[in-house]
Amino acid sequence: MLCESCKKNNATVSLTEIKDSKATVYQLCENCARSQGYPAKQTLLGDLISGFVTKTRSSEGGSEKACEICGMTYQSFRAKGRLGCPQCYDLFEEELTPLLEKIHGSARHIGKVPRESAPAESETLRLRNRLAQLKRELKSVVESEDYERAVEIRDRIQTMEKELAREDPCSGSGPEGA
Amino acid sequence: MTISKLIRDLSSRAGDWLKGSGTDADVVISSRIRLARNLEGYPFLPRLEEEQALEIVRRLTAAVERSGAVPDPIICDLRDTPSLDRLLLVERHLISRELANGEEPRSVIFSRDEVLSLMINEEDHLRIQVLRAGLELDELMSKARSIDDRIEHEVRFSYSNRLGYLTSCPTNTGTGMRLSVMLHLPALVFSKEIERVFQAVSSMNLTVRGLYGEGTQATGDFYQVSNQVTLGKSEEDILDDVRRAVPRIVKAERDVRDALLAESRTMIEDKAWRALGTLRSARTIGSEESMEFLSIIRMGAYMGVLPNVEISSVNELFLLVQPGHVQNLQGRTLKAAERDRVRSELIRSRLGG
Repeated sequence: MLCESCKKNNATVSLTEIKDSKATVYQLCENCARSQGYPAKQTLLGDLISGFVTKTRSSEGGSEKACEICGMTYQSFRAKGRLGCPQCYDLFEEELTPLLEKIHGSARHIGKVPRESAPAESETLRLRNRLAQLKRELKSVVESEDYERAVEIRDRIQTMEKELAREDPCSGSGPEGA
Repeated sequence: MTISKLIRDLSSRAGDWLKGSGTDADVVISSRIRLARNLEGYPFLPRLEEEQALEIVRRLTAAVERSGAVPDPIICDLRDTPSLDRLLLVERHLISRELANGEEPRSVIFSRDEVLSLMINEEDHLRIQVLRAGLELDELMSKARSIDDRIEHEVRFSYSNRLGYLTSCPTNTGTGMRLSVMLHLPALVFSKEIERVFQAVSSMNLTVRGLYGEGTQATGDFYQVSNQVTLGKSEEDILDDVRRAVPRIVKAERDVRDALLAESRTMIEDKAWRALGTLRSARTIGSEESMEFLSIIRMGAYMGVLPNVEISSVNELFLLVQPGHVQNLQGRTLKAAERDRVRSELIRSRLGG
């Protein structure tokens, strides 16, 4: 594929631009990418990941949603048949609703409502899930030798770990002291 | 008592629920409810880090102990459990194959009478399983509900107003409830009318599976009939669907048994006595073949053509002839040939060969 900007060189860089929470993907050659601020790509991605939905390039070339909490994409759900976390149900609502209707003949729960439940989990758990997700990401960028990105993720992990230590000084034991 | 000693102990007998008591015991072996639940604040199993999986085991175990939901619980960390013992737990329906073969930190908590079993980190963080002999749906439902409530008092499950209890697989979301009834249907299999029953069952939003659930074979003519839908129906609706369907299947099986007795008594007597003769004489036998003959014997005993056979020993044998049980009883792994020999001895000792 030719670079969308100069239309001469081969496109080797896929640049994702986010404007007003809309993602546009450009296929560029290295030169044009640089002139359009290619090194800034890292920051761009970093900002993206901190949003709820990450836009990534899927193997087919279209953009695909990935869950911010667990990293699950709809495609990988389709392949495995399992969702990654409760938030996936909201994120993929549009795709899941017809599927649920097909399986169950309905997409609305009318059964048991928890009457008396333990109090909601603390912010700590949410942070720890996020941290686990970042560690997974770090592993994958190191494998793909994207060291700039790895450094960035490592810094985020360190910040989060400090934050966690403040929130939960005896990290490792749940709220029930299990 | 250590877990392995306890498991060794289990290998020589069946749980009370399998002794052949309960309503409609000639056809209905047991009824079971399974509830799928996930702890709020964690990803589902496929995206769980090992550390989180460990934490879930710890938290759920503590919550179950505090709740008193399982009296005198047996807690078994499956990563420390040898594969032979895990196999035995699968054969007894205390854990699923998936849990037995899983890799993440996982465990099972069950009651000594084996009617309650809580699987941690199976396909969902928690699978609550309640069993009853025979067709005792109301009792089963109230028991399952009370256990669920007790545990829910201690922890918070992932729940949405729109979709109910959220599960890793969308086929379980909503009530998270699978109600299944284990049926022994040898006459319907023999008369080749079983397909007709399956068609009728699937038109009632129910599904039929083999002895060990999804994707397993119907060994020994055992079938599990269970609800397919978990969303858009209440627990009571699901109970009603099963309650309507099962007596019809039970009646169909009994009708064929009656017809066989009326029209081909000699043939049925011959089949039953030959099956008993084989099991009383065999010097080596595989588990599948044992199950086939036991199935005919069980039917014959209920039809009154094998007056001196004790139903409870036949029911028990269905369990004891399985590979995990045969080997556990010997206390070691056996090669197939040795297993078949030991199995035949066990059967002869129980059936008076």
